[in-house]
Amino acid sequence: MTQSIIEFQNLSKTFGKTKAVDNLSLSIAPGKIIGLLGPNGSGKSTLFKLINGLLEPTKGQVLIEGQAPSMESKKIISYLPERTYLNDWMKIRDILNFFHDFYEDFDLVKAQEMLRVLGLDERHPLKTLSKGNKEKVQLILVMSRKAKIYLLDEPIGGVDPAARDFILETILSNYQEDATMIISTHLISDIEKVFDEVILLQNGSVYDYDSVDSIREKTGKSVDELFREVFKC
Amino acid sequence: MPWNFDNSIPIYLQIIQEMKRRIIRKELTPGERLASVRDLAKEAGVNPNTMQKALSELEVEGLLETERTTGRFVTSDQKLIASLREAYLKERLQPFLSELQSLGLSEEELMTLIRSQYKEAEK
Amino acid sequence: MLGKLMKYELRATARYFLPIYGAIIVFSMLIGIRGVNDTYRNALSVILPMALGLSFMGLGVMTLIMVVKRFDSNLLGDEGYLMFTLPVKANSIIISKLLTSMVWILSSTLVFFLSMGIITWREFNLSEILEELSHLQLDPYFLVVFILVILMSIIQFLLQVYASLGIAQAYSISKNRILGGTLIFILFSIVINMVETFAAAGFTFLFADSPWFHDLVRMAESSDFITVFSTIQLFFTILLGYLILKNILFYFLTKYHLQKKLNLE
Repeated sequence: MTQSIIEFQNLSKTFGKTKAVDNLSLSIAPGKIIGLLGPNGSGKSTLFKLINGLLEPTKGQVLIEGQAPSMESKKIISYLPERTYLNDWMKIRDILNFFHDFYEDFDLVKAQEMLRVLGLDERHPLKTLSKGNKEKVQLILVMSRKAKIYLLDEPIGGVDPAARDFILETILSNYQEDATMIISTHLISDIEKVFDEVILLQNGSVYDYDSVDSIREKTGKSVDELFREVFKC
Repeated sequence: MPWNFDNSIPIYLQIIQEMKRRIIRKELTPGERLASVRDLAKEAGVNPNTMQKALSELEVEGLLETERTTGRFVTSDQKLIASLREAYLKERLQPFLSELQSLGLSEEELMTLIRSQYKEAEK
Repeated sequence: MLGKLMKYELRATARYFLPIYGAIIVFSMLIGIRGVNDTYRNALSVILPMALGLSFMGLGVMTLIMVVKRFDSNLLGDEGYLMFTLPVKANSIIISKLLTSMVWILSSTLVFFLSMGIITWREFNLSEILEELSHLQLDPYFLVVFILVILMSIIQFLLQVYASLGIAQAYSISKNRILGGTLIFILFSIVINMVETFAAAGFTFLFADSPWFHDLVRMAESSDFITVFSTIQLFFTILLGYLILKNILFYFLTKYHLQKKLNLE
């Protein structure tokens, strides 16, 4: 029995009066591309932050390879948040070197190649980049790492279809076979053919956790259709 | 350009169908070497695991062969390809024939119809 | 890791400090060349000292702004998503900010002395000054303690700022993080002040009549320089200890809120 790469044990996270994650227990086996699906406010971003240590659980625990989040787990997690975290004084080249400095698994050459493909010059200051390009730079930074766990929070939300294709292509071509990738999205139909499994989240709890083929065979529906059914307002 | 998929049917089944189609249409020639799983997955726009599953199935059916060091190849077994083609055609033909028969067409009428349409198509 | 963090922290801030240092040196040189007792009395002799004064004021203000802004926008804003997912210890992050701020504060002090030196270079007689210095009999212990007290005081200010910002973001004191941090900072200052006043009063109340306290007072008021001096040394040593304790407190307040109560939005 392979050890689960990520495990949630009776995990709860409360913000003031709101329960963002509600007594959630789940075990994720390594090596899959998993969709984390749910309407806004269902706890997707919160789960990511609990995995990478940006938030502490209110109750219960999250285990990465059997350990609580720590400096060691940060070494093997590559996280793409919804926000742009690029600062305003560096050039593209500087942030590449920054990642190279702090992450042993960062592939500088690969990142530079991806930039070249996109036609982005290393010497561009970060602050002159358009929002779309900033997001692409972040995606390149995240996917150029040979991490064990990739957490992508809404990577295709709010981008034009061409960018969306580029992002999906980048994700697929940089996918490491034994790595675990968790992608949260509410634009399911564009991306569901990429998932091995999906976690359906509702009000901070797991509504379902299943392989996508199993869902398709059982319901004869696409994951997107199932989602709309389950979560219609 | 990612392949088109129907999300309500398991993707790997659709990949298998597409690969069979390509073999029948000689878009994949017998003995031709396939690209790697990753490259195929990238081309199709799917999860490499899914592509792997589909390719494994095709191997089980004998349509693909794996040489450990050299890669994956389309089978050179012409008989197998021919029977695949036949099975495919029969499958395509069956619903059509059923409909015509339910319209009361006799075997003679059907043959005449097909021959004339074939000649039309050749022009 | 700490070294790398500091490397980037210094690079991010150098672009603000170096130009002002440059301006200060230039203005100082311009003043210094003409001499302090310059008889030309034209517009420049008014403008240059003003420019220098403004530069120093600007330096002071900017140092404060940098200390606050770097901590706030790099750790508590969107950049925090990057910083806090780096495989580094929370200690390293805090210390890198602390040390970088120290570097700039100490550099600014050096630049100040340099500037004064440049301005007065004509009146200067380096050999005279060095002779005077060698005649000073500085007690090494006192010198060390004195310097440490200054350093610890600077660190205390910095850590109080950091802890205030950390607490303000943890409990969402205000929509504007800096405003919230300022409020907490003021609160801290008030509380510390009150505690110190009460402690002093309580101390006096408890010990005013004890014999060793009378001894201490007598020593401080004695006409013997050595006795007074050693009392001052004692005082400074105790002050140093107290500052170190305060710093430890503020450090752990900062670390706790950044580790356990981080809530980036």
